Amino acid sequence: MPVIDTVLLPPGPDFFAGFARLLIGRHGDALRACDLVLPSFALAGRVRAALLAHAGTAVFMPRLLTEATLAARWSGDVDVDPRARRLLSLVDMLRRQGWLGNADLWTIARELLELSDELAEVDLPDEDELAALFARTHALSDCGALSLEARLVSAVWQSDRIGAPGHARARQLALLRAAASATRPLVVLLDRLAPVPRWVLSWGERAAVTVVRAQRPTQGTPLARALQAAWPVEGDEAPPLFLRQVAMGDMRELSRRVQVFSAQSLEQEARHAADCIAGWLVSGMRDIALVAVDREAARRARALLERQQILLADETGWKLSTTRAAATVDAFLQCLASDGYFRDLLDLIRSPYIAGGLDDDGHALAIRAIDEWVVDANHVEGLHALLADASRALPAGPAAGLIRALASAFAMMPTGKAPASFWTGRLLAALDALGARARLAGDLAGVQVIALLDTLVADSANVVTAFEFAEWRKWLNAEFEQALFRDDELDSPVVLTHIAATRLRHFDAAYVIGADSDHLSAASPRGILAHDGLRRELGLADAREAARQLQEDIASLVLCAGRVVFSWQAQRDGETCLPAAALQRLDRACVRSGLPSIMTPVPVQADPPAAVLPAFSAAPSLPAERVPQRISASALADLVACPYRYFARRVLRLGVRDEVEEVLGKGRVGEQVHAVLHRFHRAHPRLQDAPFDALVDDLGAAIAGSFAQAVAANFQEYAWADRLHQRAAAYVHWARTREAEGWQFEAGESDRERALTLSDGASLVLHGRIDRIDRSAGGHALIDYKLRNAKAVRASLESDEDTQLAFYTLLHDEDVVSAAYVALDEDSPIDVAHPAPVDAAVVLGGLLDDMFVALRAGAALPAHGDAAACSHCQMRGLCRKDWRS
Amino acid sequence: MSDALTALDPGRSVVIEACAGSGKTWTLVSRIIRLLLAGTQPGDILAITYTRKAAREIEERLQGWLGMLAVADDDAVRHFLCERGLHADDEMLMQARALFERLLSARPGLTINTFHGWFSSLLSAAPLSAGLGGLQLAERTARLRDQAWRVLTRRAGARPEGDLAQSLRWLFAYAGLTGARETADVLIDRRAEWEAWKAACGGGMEGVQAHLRAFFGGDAEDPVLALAADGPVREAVADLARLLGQGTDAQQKKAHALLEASADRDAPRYLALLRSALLTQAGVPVAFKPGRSLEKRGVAERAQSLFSQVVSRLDQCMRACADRHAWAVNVHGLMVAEAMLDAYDQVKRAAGVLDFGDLEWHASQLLADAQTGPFIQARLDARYRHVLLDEFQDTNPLQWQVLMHWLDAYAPDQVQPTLFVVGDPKQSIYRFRRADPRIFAHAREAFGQRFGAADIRRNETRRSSPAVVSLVNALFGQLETFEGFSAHHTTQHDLPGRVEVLPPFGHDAPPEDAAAPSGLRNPLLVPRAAIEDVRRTNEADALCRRLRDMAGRLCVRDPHTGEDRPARYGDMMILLRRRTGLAVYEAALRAHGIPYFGASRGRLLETLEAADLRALLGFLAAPADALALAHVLRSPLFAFTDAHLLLLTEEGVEPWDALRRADADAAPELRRAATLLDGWRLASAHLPVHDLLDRILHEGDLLARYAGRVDELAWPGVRANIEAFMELALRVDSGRYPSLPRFLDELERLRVEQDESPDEGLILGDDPSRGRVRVLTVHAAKGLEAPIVWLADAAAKPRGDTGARVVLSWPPGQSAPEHLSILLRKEDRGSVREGLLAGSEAAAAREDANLLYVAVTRARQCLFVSGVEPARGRLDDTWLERARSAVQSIPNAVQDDAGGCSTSFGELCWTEDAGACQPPPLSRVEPVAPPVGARRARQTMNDAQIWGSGLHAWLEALTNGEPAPPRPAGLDARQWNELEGAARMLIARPPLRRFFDPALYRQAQNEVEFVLTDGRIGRMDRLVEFDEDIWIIDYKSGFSESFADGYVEQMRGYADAVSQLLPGKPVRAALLGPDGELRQIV
Ligand code: SF4
Repeated sequence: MPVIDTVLLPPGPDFFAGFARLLIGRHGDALRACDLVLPSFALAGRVRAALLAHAGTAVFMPRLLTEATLAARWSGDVDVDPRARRLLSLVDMLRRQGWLGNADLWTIARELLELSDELAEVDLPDEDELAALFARTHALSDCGALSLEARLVSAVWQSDRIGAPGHARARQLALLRAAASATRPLVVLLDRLAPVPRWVLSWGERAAVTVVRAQRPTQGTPLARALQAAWPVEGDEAPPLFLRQVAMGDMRELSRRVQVFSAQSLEQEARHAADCIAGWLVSGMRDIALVAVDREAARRARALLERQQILLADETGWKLSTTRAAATVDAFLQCLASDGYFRDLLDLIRSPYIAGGLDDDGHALAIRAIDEWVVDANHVEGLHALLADASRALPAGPAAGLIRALASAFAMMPTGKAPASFWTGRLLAALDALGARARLAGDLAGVQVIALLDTLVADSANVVTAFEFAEWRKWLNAEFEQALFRDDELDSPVVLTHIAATRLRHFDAAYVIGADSDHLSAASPRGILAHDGLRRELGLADAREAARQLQEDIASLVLCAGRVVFSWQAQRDGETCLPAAALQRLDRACVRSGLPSIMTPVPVQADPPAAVLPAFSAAPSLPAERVPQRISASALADLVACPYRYFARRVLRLGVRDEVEEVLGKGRVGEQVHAVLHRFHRAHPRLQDAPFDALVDDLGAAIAGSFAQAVAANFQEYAWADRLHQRAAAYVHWARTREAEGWQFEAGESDRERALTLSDGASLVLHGRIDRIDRSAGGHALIDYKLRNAKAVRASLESDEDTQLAFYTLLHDEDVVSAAYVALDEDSPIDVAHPAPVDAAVVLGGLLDDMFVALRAGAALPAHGDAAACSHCQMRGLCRKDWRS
Repeated sequence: MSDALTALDPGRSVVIEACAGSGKTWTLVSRIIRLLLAGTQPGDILAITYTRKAAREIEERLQGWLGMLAVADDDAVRHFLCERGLHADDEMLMQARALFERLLSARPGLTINTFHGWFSSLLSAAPLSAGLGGLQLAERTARLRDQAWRVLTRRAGARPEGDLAQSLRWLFAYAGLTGARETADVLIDRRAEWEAWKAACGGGMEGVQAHLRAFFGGDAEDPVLALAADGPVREAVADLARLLGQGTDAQQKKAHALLEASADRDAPRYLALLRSALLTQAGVPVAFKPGRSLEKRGVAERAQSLFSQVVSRLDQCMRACADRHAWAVNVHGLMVAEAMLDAYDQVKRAAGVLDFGDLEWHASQLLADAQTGPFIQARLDARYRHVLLDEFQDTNPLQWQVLMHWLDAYAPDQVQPTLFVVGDPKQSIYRFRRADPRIFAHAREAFGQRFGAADIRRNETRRSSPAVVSLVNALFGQLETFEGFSAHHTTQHDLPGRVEVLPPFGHDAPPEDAAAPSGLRNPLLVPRAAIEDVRRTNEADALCRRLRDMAGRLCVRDPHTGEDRPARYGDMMILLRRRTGLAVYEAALRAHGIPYFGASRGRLLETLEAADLRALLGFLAAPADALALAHVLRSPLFAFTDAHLLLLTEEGVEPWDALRRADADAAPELRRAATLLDGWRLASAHLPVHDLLDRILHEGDLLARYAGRVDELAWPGVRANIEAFMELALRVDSGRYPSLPRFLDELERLRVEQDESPDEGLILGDDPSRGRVRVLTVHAAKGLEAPIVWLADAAAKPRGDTGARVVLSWPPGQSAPEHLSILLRKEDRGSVREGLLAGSEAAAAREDANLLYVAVTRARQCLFVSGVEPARGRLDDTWLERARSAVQSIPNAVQDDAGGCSTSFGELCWTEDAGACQPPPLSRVEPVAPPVGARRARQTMNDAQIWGSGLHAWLEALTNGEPAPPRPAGLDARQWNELEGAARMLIARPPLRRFFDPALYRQAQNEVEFVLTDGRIGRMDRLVEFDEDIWIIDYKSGFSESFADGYVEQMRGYADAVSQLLPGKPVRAALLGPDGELRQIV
């Protein structure tokens, strides 16, 4: 007959004093022969201090343990089935059984494993009975899907029993083993509502066991009464608030300790938290908790605190997958998955962990060289071709080293199916090849990443099933999601923690961030075990219990901490957020007692004092030597549209960097078309001489040829290729007509320069490339191809700001009789001719003279583009026009 | 019982059509309270509304009321209940007060959700075998679509001769890359309809194609050939030509053309010739008059009839051609779109997500299934007994299906649910989200039959002044498209109000000296002559002036207190049909110093401040990006002048290198920039983006510097945007696998994808007594109200449907669509879809009227309508014009000289300016706390230490009778075995046996911890008590001779403590080395 003695103690500042009194009272010196199992080691310090205080002199401690450490002592060399392996084998098993169609087995397997862990402590009936239980609780009979689930649960649970146990079950077994050979008296401190664990009961059969439970008092102090008024311990059984005793004095006592703030934004909430905590520190408080209910807000608050060198000891931890170190591994795998898609590659090479042999500068150089090369080559994807080309193009320097490392790393990876341990092992080898392992070892997360991979290799060693790359990556991802990364090298009295971890701990003050009804609520179970009725039958906690636990945790925090501030964001993305249920109850209790509502908006946070900056201007004048001496048609267009833009692009020579184009942009298509037409006319200087069809075939073939590579690389290029190809005949027809009218092709893609002597004696060189020059008896015609439709071309010519044709006329400078654009994005080409190019050239010459003389004399280049000019201008960050209107 | 109380009766099902302002939310929430009071369990109630925002508002209202009841005195509770048709006894009072806590603690709780939210919970309860486990809902799908498109084109490229490739190229040729992509995307938002349609066609593409073939007349003869082969028509053409040949010159010319045509045997050419002779470019018949010369010859009539005959045959042919073309578009388009769906599915599967379309489709599939439907109800533990549906006019056919499936899952012998449906077909404005307001009427019918639902219609508003109501009646009373409208009434009999329609704003007169004679402008001196549109600026300007006039002077009635008081900006709302031009209104508000809440959704990344941060991050990721560097340097963060930039851009040197080289003599700005940027550059490789940005904000003193640069009015917005950017970084960052390049890619994607771009930050921290004008689209204003509403840009025309889209017909109540096809361009409308298209145009026109209804009914007291003169076309059918003529038809309307008009009710009062002063700017005092916390040096154990602690662990385990201790990572199995052996050997050593054999001592403990009085903690490895003395033994791993010396002090202290704790026996202390030697110290 187990002898279990249960003692209830009220949580609060005196909890541990009472606990010490109890321990010493019961065991005295013999404490050294006792085992004391605490919920966590975070309480050990308080236990020691309380024992010492109570004894008043030196004192023996009981042996301090937690369930985890006790289990570790008793696990021995019993085989445990590591999670990673369980997952692999379960997926394998499910796949072979084929019960679940083409569902995502990884997700299902994960859910089943979680479930089997949850069931580690309970006894399940046999398969049929379990199915019946499922049916009964769901009030559903003859439901195939339900009985399938019951069968799955049963199978997974059985295999945990029969085969090597999973982690949770192994721990359970170890504890039972400890209990089975127990000799020492045991004291267990329980801070949860859960029933006394089985192993404790079994311990009681062999030695004395005392279970100490924290239980909130409902009477005695004003605080206890106030909490009872707001959050009755009986839960739903309590009479309604209106009938409860809610004394104003009690509530006032509570509202002195507890404040509730609503914030309008994440920033406001985080800032308030940071200010509060800093304020507490200033006022001399020490032990402070930031309870991260909303992790994003908490993270923001932490950053704000760190600015003031207030560092937080993080007890919550982050998924390993959210670390930069894990991101490096993923970047490598992503490159593999996307076959070297350039963005993925450029992401990978930027990781600080790779290129172990390079220093920071070398790494920066390598990144830059590879960046530029990828753009030049317009490499979109194709890992092996890319690495091969790159190693040819970048034969030396830091980039070459990096490319070599990448090549050998990628070469390590299997190309077909392979067992998980093999994949993982190769991944580690690849990281070595990248020189990454050593660098990863240099930081905390990196060490954990490597350790995880090592463990995975070992854990999956004897699963022989071969997986595709994508499957293995899913498994690996799941592990990275599962693993927790904690920076435990920080000591600080200010801790970042979660609500359950505050149980029974003392804080001078605590800030609960994110106390809205979504975040500060009990997690609801999902999936197979979501049904409350079923949970109760299986002996698991149901939703009601989870909610009560949360309420008790909050109450205990209020009891144990000197001050508690809650805050929540009253709205997010334009939607109202309600405060957590507990806070609403608290608020109503306050109002019921006659006090005002406890909820207050976060006080207005004022702006920082504005810094004094030099006056702003965007109308530079140039030192004479920086005034350009050459000008092209497009530079002139910049100057006409907006002098500041000209300054930025042509004087400062700033421009948007080229980018890899996944689909050929209009620019590149235009270049190809220019080149094709040029070659075509060079090959056929007199179109009359060849038969029409031959010309069409020739041009068509040239177009097809020029797009062949693009089309092979990307099917979308057919959009232009086909369109242009179809128009070959129309073009030939147009060109022949033109020739018949007396215009003879003379030159194409013709680079020209012409120096103008300005009135101040300096000279200005005009330069540019004229797409095509035709000649007739009367003189020359200049042609500029536009890959646009005629309407657009006409509109820009008529906008009277068009200077291109005038510029070419001025540049060509010999008997120009006509200048025209040819709109090519039409079923057949359409000429858009300048009405009076020669006159325009004369006027332009005068304007150039005016402007460049003035510039040399110090005239300013004002930023006064109009809406049209600015709409696609890349210099708005420099002229900062947005802020000047 | 009055209608109002019937609606609250927990036992009755009702369908309420309720006009704007009639208190839908009041009724719905009141009904929930009555349900709860009648003993309904919260978990038995399901309420569904259209948006999450609305769901939250219902929840808030419900909790607010219950919270109030929980603490209110008897009178208040009685009054509250009485308003809702209950005469409360004491017991009911108590019940009402208990509802608050009852609701909060209910498990399962009350469900207030959107359809989508509800569907999600259905899916999460789906059986494992449904294969939906673990899928996340992707609210944003643009990236997935792009990926799918890449998959699709790659597939096409892999089989260039395959059907997919051919269809894709067909589309490229017909509609270009953009058109093809649009077509491919067309089914993604119509996933569920498409699946239903496919099922209705027999389950596969073949069925669909067969249907289309028949539908578009694909089986008939080629219409062009048919025309060419149509002998009588050819005859008629020739006859007509002969007759015309006798007429005027022009007629003879036409005769020639016709003759040529009639002789042409080439079918396409024949058609082309006929077209050019008889139809205009636009495809309508040319004007045809036989004229006098034919009349004289007496053949006029015959010519006319021949003309009509030919033209109508031609028209028939053209239509048939268009239908054929539409068929081709559908054959290729659906092939590509279906392939796209497939590729999209693949991408989603890989990413483990589903989209809204999937959600609806899966929900309907799950519930339609006789097994899974009840399964889900059972698992959710949700056999709702009361279903409340809000904003029901916005329901789409799929949602209706799901709802019906859910209701069908109630076994006939089960208690049937009661239904409460409320909505207003007049406010149906979500056609673009596939809402079908016809479902409302259908539901009224269906629920009436099935649940005996009462049919309640309300036309009484509790919101608006009679002035506004008379406008509503005048506007919609006669409007044909607005069928089913009945005149509205208001309970606000005495609320003064005014409606004013302003004349349209036009261009200013062009300035006198506009023409520049010389032809070319000198851009250094003269900016380009503003050909910018000033119409809207003028409108915005007038609007702001009027709002400023009213603020603090015009008295409005406070909606909460019912008192009259001077208007605040918070009482004003500007409504716009669309976002176009929004920036102009916002700029005008800024310029007039009027505080406002912008509606500038999705523009965060376009703002200059966000662009600055992007440029900075871009530079940190790629320092060679000189433009990004220059951008950052010019931002307030560094506030460089152009002269500084000139210094950094000398020939041949990269600006970043030039900046880094800035030496001690360089300007301090340059050095500051170099130092900060270099620090951030190094940090950027390791730090998560949010942390990096935070450091930048802090070290760069960013906020203060920005505050110093932008003017006071713009500052709150700038600050809000910077904070919104931080939040974005935080959100993107907490995702998996963070890196700066990935973040930048994500930003670029968000920027390009209009619908997904993040919103501008919300401006906070203002004096609430003053408030802010709200600028909203009409869609966003649904459900809101304000004393003063200004409907601006009212001359804008609704945007017609363009681009590729789905033509769908799904009559309410039917289980599958009747028709589904693709429409890509106007040209392929054809004739067989005429009716369908006309139907959807009618629906669009009706929706446009609905939108106007929603806009004007937002106003409580004052409504202004303004707009600009259209650049082309006439004002006719615009809202502005409709409002103007409606106002004019009201008896007391007043016309003003400028062409505006107004109508008023009662007397609006004006007061002296109540002085809307701004609160004094506070400056922020941060508490300065001392540094707290420190990083501990990482401790790693050397081999000897690892060995030592291993031995320790073994000794512990062996002497405690525990199994093998867990092996630490640093030791392999062999070493571990060695250690075990060593430990066993130690224990067994004869000289040590007395310490380890229980038979030889009285008692012993391992790992005894104790606290000394001074608070220090000691831990001895083993404490052994004999009859005569007590031994403290500590295991040590040192090997050297003198190692023990270091412990003498410590062991003495231990011994002292133990003799204090266990007085009476001498205490000895010894160290036990790995060699098995015991070195006694005390
Ligand atoms: S944004 Fe406009 S004003 Fe600024 S440089 Fe460009 S064109 Fe000029």
